[in-house]
Amino acid sequence: MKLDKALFALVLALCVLVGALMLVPDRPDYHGITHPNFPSLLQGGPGAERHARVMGLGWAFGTLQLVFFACLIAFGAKKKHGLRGLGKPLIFGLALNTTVWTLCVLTYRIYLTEPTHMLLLGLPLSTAIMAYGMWLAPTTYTFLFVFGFKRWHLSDQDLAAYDRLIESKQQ
Amino acid sequence: MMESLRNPIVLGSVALYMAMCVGMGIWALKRTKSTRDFFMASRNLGMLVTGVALFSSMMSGFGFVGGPGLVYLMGMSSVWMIATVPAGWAITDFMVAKRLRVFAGAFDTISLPDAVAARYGSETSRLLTAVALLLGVMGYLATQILAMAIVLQTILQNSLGEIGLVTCAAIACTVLVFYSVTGGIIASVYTDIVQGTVMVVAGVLIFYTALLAFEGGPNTATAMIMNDDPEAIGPWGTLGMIGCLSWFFMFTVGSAGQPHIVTKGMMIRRLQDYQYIPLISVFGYTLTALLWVSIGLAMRALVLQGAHPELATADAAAPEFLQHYAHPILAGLVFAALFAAIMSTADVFLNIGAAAAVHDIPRAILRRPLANELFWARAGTIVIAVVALLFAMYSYYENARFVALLGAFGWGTFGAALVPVVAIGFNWKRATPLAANVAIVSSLLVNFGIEVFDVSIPHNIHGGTISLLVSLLLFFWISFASTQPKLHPDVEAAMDI
Repeated sequence: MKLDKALFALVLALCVLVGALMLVPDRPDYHGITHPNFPSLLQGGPGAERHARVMGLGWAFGTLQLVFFACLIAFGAKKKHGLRGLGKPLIFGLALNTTVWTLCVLTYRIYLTEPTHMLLLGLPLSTAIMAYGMWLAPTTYTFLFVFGFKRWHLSDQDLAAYDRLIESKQQ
Repeated sequence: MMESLRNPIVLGSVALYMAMCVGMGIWALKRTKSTRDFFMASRNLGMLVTGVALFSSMMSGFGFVGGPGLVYLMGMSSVWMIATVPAGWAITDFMVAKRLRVFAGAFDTISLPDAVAARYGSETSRLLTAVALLLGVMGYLATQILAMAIVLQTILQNSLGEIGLVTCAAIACTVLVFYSVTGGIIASVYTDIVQGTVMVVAGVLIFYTALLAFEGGPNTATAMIMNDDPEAIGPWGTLGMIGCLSWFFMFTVGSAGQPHIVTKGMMIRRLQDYQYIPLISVFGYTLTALLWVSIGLAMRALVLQGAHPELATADAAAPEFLQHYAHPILAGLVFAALFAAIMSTADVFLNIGAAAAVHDIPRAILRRPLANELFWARAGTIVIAVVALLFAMYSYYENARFVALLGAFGWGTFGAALVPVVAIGFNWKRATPLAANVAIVSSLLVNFGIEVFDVSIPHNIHGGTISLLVSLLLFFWISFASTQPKLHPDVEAAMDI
């Protein structure tokens, strides 16, 4: 499937998923209730109860987003001759991001039930995976851009083509 | 001893910072001789300047005041806005940066609507892009001006006694307008160097201070929050999973449509200079964001512990922390950084708004540029600042929803309008002008509709996410349903690079 059609399909899938989420019954107090002692604070309330119906769809929503991000990057990087070797590193980046995301959701399920919580770098495990992992994993793409700049983004041939374009415009 | 000097130190730091901005405006005046200089910094920015300017204009007053406030109020929910940065900027880097710079070089474009007009060969697309930008700019600017006025009022009242908000807004706006008018985007990006550096230093030092605010370190603070409400310190905070994921989508994909980000890429000297910019901007932003998370969590834990009185509003988290827990010199630095964060965003929006008003809208309607465009650019900058100031004051005194309404044309509208048109459209030859125009109009209608009619979306899904999905869907659908447009050979050549 061509990348433009894949992106369109992903947008459609995201729309369907968001539509499905809207059909799942929701309660306003599931998104923060005023703290009984400190009115300037919100509390989340019972996590298991408020996420019971949306956890699976939420995982799918997050995963689909990660696939969409990787496809957008591929779409921006592709040239006439395809991705020129960027495909595999992108798939690796996507796999890494999806793994971190899945771990975040799985550890959150455990967090909901366990009586004591393990802390990692000052945060509960699932939160640490979100705060550090969901930030760190996409830096794979940043490094692909920086260290594969000449290979995947702006080759010597691209620069020559740019110079030719500028020259022809000036004439 | 030092504590008694707290207010003079804070006031002196802010005064010094403002004097630096004025000096930078005078310095940049001599270097601003054309609209190309005024709007595009002569397309002569180096790697470091662009990298720092990118993250400092991204981190606005919202990040320094609203961000800690959100963490105080909702726990970890707003961290999803920060977690988007590497992915969002990677999308922007791969999809937009080179493409816009190639168009800027090949078609001598000096604004984003200019590039859109060149890509689609459509003056209607230029006009719609300019209108969307102008509306969004007004919302962003009004909120930034209001934030500047409130912070300055707090500082001046601590040192000098009672002073009106309008006076404070006028003082802050005068400095902002002075360097934006004299030096245009050149003054803006070079002040960004100082602003970005101050913000990074402040972010790191405040993070360290927040770690020391508790005996036993951050684990004690986490335990305090967890004992009160495990969800607040869980990965979704109090907002819940789906709301957080909708922020994640809107802020990540929406990055590629933010005019204050993508236009900076048009200003770099050489295409190859972009290579290391993502490293500077991603890590610079992350260091400044340390302040966002650490102050919010520290203040929530301090209030829960009973070590600090409850805050009147969540937005007071950062000022209260600085007042009570930061060393006076650090407080002075952070207040200067706060002004830096606000001004570095406001000045670039002022410049983008002026470009839309005096360069693009007249061109789209009259089909020719205005005579003496540089003069009109400076005049336009003043007019836009004055209008935004009036909006800000009207909102504060008369109708609190007014700026929020304009704010709806902020991130969400820019993302929904410009991600399809710029990020997708500049990489996809099949995209049509009609699809671009419909995407922009739909982004305005959906965002404004959700705000005006106060639409409540289940699971707290952000309206900007809905708007972005709708505009992307329409853009692809209309383009696929239309005959593939025949592009000008130069446009095709630019898109092949």
